[in-house]
Amino acid sequence: MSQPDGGVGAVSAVDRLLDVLGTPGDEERRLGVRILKAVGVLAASPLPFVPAAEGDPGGSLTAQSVATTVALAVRPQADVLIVVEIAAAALSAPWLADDAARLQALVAGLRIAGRLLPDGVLDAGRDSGSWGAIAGGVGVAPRDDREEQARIAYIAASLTLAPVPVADNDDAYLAMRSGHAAASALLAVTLASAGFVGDVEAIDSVHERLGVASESGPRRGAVELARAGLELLEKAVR
Amino acid sequence: MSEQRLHELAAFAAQTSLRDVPEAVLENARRSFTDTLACILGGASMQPVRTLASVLHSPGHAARIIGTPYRSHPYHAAFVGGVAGTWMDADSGGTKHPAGGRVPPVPTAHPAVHLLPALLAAVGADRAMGGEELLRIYLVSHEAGARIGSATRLLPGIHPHGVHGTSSAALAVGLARKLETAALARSMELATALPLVTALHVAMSGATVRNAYAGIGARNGMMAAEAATHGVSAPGGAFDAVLARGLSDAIDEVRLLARLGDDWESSRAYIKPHACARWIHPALDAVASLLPPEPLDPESVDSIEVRTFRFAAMMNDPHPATDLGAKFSVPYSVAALVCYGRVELEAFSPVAMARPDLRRLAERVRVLEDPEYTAALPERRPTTVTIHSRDGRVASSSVEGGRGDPEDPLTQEELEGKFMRLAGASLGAERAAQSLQLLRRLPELPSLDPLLECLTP
Repeated sequence: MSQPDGGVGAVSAVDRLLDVLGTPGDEERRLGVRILKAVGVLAASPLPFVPAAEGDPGGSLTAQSVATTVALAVRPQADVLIVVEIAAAALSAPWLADDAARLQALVAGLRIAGRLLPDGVLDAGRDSGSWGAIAGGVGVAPRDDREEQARIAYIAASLTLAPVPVADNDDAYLAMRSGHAAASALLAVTLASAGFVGDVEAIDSVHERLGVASESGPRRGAVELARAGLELLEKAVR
Repeated sequence: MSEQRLHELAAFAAQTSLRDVPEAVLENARRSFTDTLACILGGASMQPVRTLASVLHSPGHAARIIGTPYRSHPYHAAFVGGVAGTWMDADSGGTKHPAGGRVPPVPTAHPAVHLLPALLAAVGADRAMGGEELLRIYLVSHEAGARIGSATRLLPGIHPHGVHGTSSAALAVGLARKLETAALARSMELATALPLVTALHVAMSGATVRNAYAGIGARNGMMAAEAATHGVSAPGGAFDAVLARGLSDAIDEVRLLARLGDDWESSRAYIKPHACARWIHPALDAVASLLPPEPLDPESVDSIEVRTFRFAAMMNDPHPATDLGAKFSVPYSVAALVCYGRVELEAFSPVAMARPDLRRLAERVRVLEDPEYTAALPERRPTTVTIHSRDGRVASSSVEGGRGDPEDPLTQEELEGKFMRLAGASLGAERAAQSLQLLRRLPELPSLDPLLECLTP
């Protein structure tokens, strides 16, 4: 019933997105290790309003807790929120058995995000709560199953938040958006595994909604994205 | 400005007693509660929902995943409940779009299927709450959601799931946790600031991720109430940013707040007799009026012509790929009604979807738009069906709208029959009957324990 690209219909918009996946480079690995370490440190004391992560099959509660807590700790800025969302998903997916797998998921997510994100300055109220769900979901998806990756991408893209204008003091709200994105990344995996079918227009719809051209090539490398996020994460750790 | 409006809604919700509510409104609330619970229980019998619930099962948590033997974190219980409640597309909604002018006539809101899963997840561990308070919270939260839906004009192509029902869920959970009015208002605005962008075409294309939207809305509403208790607020003006300039382009202040407690928007919601898109219902009602009591041999039907309004006529795919797509297909739904005598559980099962005779009949259903019928929207949804039998007989029937609207409500027998079938699918007939007995005297229940116990197989 579903098409090979994981959705309903003949469109295969996700193909160009998944083409960026592959083996992480050395610099991506070095930065990724530091990101995961910093996020782990910052997530050690969860905020009072995030869900307790005990008994969390699927990992989405943990991802929500990690992303919300860390996002608030870094005083949410758009450059780092996407990185936090992806890293929270990578750290929380229970099926990723070791650090190498989590690193692989993070780098995959960063590459996908680099492809998805708009050029220029990011906007926290627009860009949090959306791209990280897609990139984080694809990042933690089975490495060698392109159909499942596509299915997860389409589902995650359907669970993204609409943009909401924010002010300088809306840190906690922005952190909640990041929590939603990270949780949605893992919920998308759960939904895909339960047989849910995604909307093949969802990724293009997110681009259209957020005013981003969807047909251009990669806009940022994973390294560029990682560096921007890491600087803020390590500053928060200090 | 937006904070003040939500404060008024929250104050109304906090202060309204069932003793202030007219009997007819209270009866509608009981019917709506029963119907929404039926939809959750029916959806919980569907294989993807059962799989989802089993994956999220975590026995250390207290919250029940309604209609299943599983427990989980309340967020997951609310999420799966919302998924289950929409899976069958049998849940209630607002009837008329505001100001009577906006087409397509998307329902104004589906607050019930957002708020009830969140409310049941929230009260799972509350041993002090009784049936009267549960029904009160359901009614006032439904009213708030129905008013927000009725007062806003979603942009063309946007569906209400995951949009304004989220604030109803936040309000319900906040009331269950006895938050003060200011915190309730904060919960509602925070929930409004976490909206999905749910496109109508997703359901029409059969992408079953659509069924996750209300679940996410229930979950986010619950999360918003929790965060609000810790002082988290939405960005200033978020209510307007989302509902006056974002996903909707206007807020009608009168519909939002006028005559609170005297005029009940929630009582204008429809209750569905058929488990499919509301726009198809007039066609099904017309077909049903022509059918014999027993299911018909589809091969005895030569062709069926459905003349209807534009937006029903657009749902003309005779070959839907998924059960959700089938629920948005006039040809499939009409053929299923002929084959099964009811458009509900069996009609969209894998067995039904694979029936060659049903599929062949769907191909013989012609769906045409009648411009005069389109012009009658949204006050009326005229539809005419003509059945041509192989033996040469021709029968025709016309209707002015779908059954289940306040003007043509389901009988109590029909409503309880729907509950028994849907609840029975997940609970078994005995537990479904026990649940129904408890629901009939919901306001008198001193504790929710017996009801919640009944809602798990």
